[in-house]
Amino acid sequence: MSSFISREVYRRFLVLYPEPFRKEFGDEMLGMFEACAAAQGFWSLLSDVVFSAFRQQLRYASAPSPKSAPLYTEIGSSSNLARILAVAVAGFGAAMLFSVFTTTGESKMPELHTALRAGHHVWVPKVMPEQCSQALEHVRTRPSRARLNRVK
Amino acid sequence: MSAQEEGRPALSPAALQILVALATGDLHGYGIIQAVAAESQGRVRIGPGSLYDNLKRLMDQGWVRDLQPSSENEKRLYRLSAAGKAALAHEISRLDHLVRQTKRSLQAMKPRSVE
Repeated sequence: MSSFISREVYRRFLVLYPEPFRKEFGDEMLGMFEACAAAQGFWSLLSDVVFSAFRQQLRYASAPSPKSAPLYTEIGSSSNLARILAVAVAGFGAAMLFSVFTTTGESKMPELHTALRAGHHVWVPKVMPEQCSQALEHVRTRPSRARLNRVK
Repeated sequence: MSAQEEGRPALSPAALQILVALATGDLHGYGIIQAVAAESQGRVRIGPGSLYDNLKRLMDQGWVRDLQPSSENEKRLYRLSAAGKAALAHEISRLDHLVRQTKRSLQAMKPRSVE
């Protein structure tokens, strides 16, 4: 992932923090992104943001004046529970993305198709059974070139 | 030690590391991350999220205060307050007591016979 894209993704994730926190520390966090990403890795920083944003949302939710802690200015009237749920869903999404990219890799799917077409035995990872079964079904229903030649 | 200090909960590892880093002098955000990594020989790494999450809490408690930069080129510095120094001293004392107590317990422990 290019540094521009990763910085942009990181900047977007900062919106998970309560607005006052983001206004106070957002620029500083973004300013040290490149240096920290080089030392700690992009995914580590992203998970760090998700967990700390969740903690901050909980803190602001339990604060006496909830009006001072909207997640977005445009949905500032949303309830505390809604804001906490939004952070939890974003965290779950980031964790799923992380597991998919680190365990199997998006780019492995074309190789899976090729290997199945060639008749090789393929190890199917448990984390993506649906995608693998779809690929297997696709190869089964589409006859190979060798089989087509035999038919001719 | 005051009654308030007695009942104070233990600091989180990240908060302790930040206070220890600030005990050496005023630092900006990335300076704190570098100081924590250097003091722990790279074993402890605090991300920006955890850093500012803890800094915010420490600032709300009055243990750390920020020094606003005089120009745009300067970075905001963070300084340990007098209350922060007292809290750090209390935590170090607590850890020191724990270490001494554990050492005594380990020395007093009799080796078990292996059957």
